[in-house]
Amino acid sequence: MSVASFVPRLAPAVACGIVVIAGCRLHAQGAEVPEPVRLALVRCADLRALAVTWVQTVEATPIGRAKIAADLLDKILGDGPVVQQMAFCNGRIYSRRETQAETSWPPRTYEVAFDGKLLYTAHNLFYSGDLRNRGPRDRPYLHKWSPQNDAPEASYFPDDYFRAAGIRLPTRIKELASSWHPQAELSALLAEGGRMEAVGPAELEGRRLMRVQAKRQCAAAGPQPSLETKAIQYDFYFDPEWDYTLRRLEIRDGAGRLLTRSDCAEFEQLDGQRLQTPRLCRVEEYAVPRAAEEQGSFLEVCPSPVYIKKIQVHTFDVKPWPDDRFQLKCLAPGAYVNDASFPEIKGKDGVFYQVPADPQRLDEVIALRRALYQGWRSAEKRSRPLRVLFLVLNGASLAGLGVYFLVRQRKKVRSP
Amino acid sequence: MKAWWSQPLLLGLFVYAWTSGIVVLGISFGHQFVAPLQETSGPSLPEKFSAYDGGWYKEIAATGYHYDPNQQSPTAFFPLFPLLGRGVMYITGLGPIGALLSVAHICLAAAFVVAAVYLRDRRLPSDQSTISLTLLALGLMPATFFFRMTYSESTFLLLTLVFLRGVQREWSLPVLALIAGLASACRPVGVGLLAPLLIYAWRCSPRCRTFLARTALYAPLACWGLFAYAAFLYFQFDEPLAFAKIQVHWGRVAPSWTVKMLALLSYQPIWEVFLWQPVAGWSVFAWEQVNAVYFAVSAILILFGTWQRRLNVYETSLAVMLLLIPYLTRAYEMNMASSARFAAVAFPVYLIVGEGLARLPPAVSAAVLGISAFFLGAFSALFAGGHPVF
Repeated sequence: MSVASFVPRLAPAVACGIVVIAGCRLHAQGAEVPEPVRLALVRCADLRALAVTWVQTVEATPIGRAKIAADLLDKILGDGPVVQQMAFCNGRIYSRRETQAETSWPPRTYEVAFDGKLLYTAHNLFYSGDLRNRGPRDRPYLHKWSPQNDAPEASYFPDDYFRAAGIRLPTRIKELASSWHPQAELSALLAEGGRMEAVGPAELEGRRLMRVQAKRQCAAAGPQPSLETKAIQYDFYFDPEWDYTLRRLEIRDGAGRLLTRSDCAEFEQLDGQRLQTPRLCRVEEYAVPRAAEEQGSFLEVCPSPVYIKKIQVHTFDVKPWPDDRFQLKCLAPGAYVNDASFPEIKGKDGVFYQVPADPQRLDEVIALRRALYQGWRSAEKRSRPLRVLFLVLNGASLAGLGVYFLVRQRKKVRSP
Repeated sequence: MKAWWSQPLLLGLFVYAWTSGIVVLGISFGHQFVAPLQETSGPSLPEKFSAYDGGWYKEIAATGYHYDPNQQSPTAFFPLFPLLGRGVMYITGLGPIGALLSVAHICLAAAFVVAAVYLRDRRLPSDQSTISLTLLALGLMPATFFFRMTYSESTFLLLTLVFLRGVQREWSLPVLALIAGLASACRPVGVGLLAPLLIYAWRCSPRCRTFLARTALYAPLACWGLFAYAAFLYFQFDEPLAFAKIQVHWGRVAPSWTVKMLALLSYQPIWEVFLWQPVAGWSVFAWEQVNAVYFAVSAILILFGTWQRRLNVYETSLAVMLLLIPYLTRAYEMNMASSARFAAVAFPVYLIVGEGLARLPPAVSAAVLGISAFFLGAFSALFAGGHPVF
C-alpha cells in the first residue's frame, strides 16, 4: 500500500478523532468547522467562473400525486425533462432552460441574465395576448430592467443543481446588486447567522463521512410577511474520499421532520481547480407545498418523498465567458421588447416595442415609444388640477340641476 | 305601388350591403397598402377581419374555453356569438373566421331590417327621409365597422333592436325577459336591458305589488344568459366569476375604489387621453382619442335626445345603461379603450343622429355622411393594417 493511498483513508479518522477529542468544548460553545471541511468551503468560494449544463427531470411519487393539488403538481412537473444551463463569471450570471412540450411548437427556451447592471429575461415564444391578438406567434420576447426597480427578494435564476451540490449562488436581487462570489451552502448559512450544532462521523451506504449539523432561524413562510421565525436544521455529509465534497444535504424543520434530502454522486474534479463537483444529483422533497405563490410554505410533511428531482450534468466549463454573453439581445424582426433600462423608467415595465423589419428603423421605433411613455408619465402630473376642476364643475352642475328641479316643482305646486 | 325603399326589408338590406361594402373595401385596402410600424408580416385577408378581440372569439369557436387566472383568457368573452359561430361551422363546414363572419353579417343584416321596421312604426306618420338617414347613420358611423368583424357587437345590436321592437309591439313580459336574457349571454352589458324591462313591467302592472312580483320573477329570467354562463364557468373551471375576474389582465389596475370613483366623477378617463402624446402625434386617426370623443359625443347626444324628448323612456334607459355600464366598470382600467365600440351598440344614438341629419339641408347631410363613410373606410383599413384600432 502506497503512502498516497494511505493518507486519504486516514484523513477522516484523524479528523473525526480531533472532533471527538474536542467534543466537550464544541458541545458547550457551539462546534467549529473542521479544518478539512473549511478548506473545502474555501475551494468553493475560490471558484471564479463556471458554466454547468444539466438535464433535470421531476417525478411525482404516488403519495405526491395524492397529496399535491393538481394545478400545483402540473407546475412542479412542468413539460417533461428540462435542459438547463447556468453560468457565472465576475459577478455576472446567466441561466437558460429549454423544454419540449408535447405540441407542434419548437422547444421553449427561457433565459435570464444579469450583466452587472441590468437584468434580462428572454423567451423564444411569445403569446401576444398583450396586444389583444390571440393568434399565438413564435416571436421572441425580451425584457430588460434595472435591479434597483425590482423587489429585493425577487429571484429569477433557477439554480437547482447548485443547491443540490451545496453551492450557493446569489439569485435574489439584493444579492446580485452587491459584489458577490459563489459560496458553499454551509458558509452562506453561517454568514446569515446560522450556527454550528455538532460535528461527528457518520456512515452512509458503507461510506464513512463527516456530518456537520447547523441550525438557522428564518422568517416563517406564508402569504403575508411575518415577524415570526422558525428553526431550520441542516445536516451536511462531507465525503473525505472526495476532498470533503458534499455528499448529502438534509434539511429539517424545527420539529426534526425531514423536508428535503439532496444526494450527490459521480464527482469530478474541475479542470484547473481543486474543487470536486457532482455529475449526478437526486433531490427528494418530503413537504407537500401549499401553493405556487407561497414558496417555502407547506401543508404537511410526509414520511416518504412527494416528488423527486433528478439532475444529470452534461458538461462543466470553467473557461470564463466573455462579458457580452451575459447580455441578452434580441434584434430579430418582429421580436417584442419590454425595455425598462432607460433612466426615466420607474418600475419593471418600461417601453414596449416590436423590432421592425428594417433594422435602421429600430431607433425611430424606440424613440416614438419612449416619447409615448414620457407622455404618460407627464400626463399623470398634469391630470391632478384638471381632475379637481372637473370634480368641482360636476358638483356644481349636479347642484344646479337639483336647484332647477326644485324650483320647477315649487312653481308647479304654487300654480293653481 | 310603394317605392322599394319604403319597404323595411329591402331598405334595411340595401343599406347593410352598401355600407358594409365600404368596410370590406377598407379592409382590402388596409391589407394591401397599410403597413404598421411594428409588424413585420401580416396575416391573410380573412384573418384581418379577426384581429384583436376578434381573435379571442375565433379561438373560442375553434377550440372552446380555457381559463388561466394568471393571464388573459377567453372566459372574458361571452358565449353566444362564438356558440353561433360553432353552430355555423358544424352545419356548413366553414372555418372559425368564415363562420363567425357569417354570423356577424347575418345578424347585422337582420338588425338593419328590424331597425327599419322599428323606425317605420316609431312615429306615425313615418318620415321616410328620417328612417333612411337613421339607417345610414347606423351603417356609416366610424365605429360601426366592428359590426362587420368577428365581434359580438352585431349580434348584440340585433338583440337590443328585437327587444325594442318587442316593447314597441307590446310583447308579453316573459318573451321580452327571454330576449334580454339572450342578450346577457352575448355581452356583459346585456344586463343593461333590465332597466327598460323593469320600466315596461312597471307600466304593465296595475299595482305596485304586481310589479314587485313580476320583477322577482322576470328580472332573474332577463339575466338567464349570464347565469347560464356563470354556471358553465363554475362547472368547467370552478370559478363562476371567471368572466369578471379575468378582466384584471386587461388594462391598468385601479389603486383603490376611491381613486377610481374620483377619476370617473371627474371624467378623467375621457380627457386624460388628450394629455398623452399619441404614437403618431395629434391626429383624427389616433384611435385612443377617437374612443374618448366617440363615447363622449354619444353620451351628449343621449342627454340631448332625452332633454328634447326625442327618445322614449325605454330608448333612454337602454342607452344610459349601455353607456354607463362600460364607463363605470372598465373606462378607468382601459383608459377608454374600446369605448367607441361599446357606444356603437347604443342604437338610440342613431335615432338622434338620424333626426338631426333630417333637419339639415340635404347637401349638408350628404356631406356629413360622406365624411363619416370616409372615416369608416379609413379605420377599417387601419384595423386591417394592424394599427391599434380597438
